[in-house]
Amino acid sequence: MTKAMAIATISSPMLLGTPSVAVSLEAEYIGQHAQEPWDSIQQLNSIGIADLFHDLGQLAIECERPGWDGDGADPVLPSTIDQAVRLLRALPPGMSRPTLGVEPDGQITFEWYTSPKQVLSVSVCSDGNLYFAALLGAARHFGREPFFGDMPDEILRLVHRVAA
Amino acid sequence: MSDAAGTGSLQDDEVVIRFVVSKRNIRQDKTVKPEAFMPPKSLDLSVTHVANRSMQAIWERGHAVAKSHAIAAKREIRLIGGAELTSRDVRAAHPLDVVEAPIPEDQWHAHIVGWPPFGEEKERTKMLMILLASRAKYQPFPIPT
Repeated sequence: MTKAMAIATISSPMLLGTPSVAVSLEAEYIGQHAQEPWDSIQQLNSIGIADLFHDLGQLAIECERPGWDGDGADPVLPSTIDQAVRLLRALPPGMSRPTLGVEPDGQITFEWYTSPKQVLSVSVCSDGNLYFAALLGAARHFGREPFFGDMPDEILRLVHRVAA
Repeated sequence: MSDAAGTGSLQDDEVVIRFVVSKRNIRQDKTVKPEAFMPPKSLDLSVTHVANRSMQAIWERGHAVAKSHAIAAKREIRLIGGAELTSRDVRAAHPLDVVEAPIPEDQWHAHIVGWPPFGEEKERTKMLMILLASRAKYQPFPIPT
């Protein structure tokens, strides 16, 4: 199936609201992967990430073209969406939920936020690394971690400190 | 600085505004997300400085920026608001600085400069974005009555 022809119902069983049809390879990817056995709507709801999948689908659609911001932004690549889906799945149950965003270099951000000076932002890109920066009061932490499908310990520690 | 636009650094107490044209860059508590401060490939992050202008004049400029982005992106992009910083706030995120960069459309245009090379040291760039966001004051674009 070509990208132009890829038509996915991204809300099929993973989403809570009314179904929305999207013309997007990324959305199709998310739709397909969210139908795998562990991703039943009950499971997604119970760990509170159904809405994050929905947000990710929206981002994929809004930012799939170069220049989506009108200022030369890079597109969000399917491989970046792939990594973001993997990171969503790697969120341990009970962990505070991030909000998603997108950067003009085509990377997707996961943000854990308590206040402007108690915040962690993680950028997901297609190169297999997670780039993170956190402000915890006056303390600054930043770095990169390879991502193999499990949430890196350093990022887990920072999430807990932001939420503390 | 000054009432007249030039090409130097801005004084510490001067206020600059980064126009916000995406709701995604504003949190529910009306604070600014770091994404609003991601530098472009040129590494010159555009802002405008308030100087002695009225807010109406500044919003008009912001509206023009949003319109040009909408034309380039071929979709609706609206001015949401602005993220205010002083030059002192910018310099607190060392090594960032803010310098005048007048353009024909905006003689008060300025750049936040001093970013790591684009595509390298993303983690350092993110740290600087967070520092700017932590000090920014969000001003919503007033809805015309």
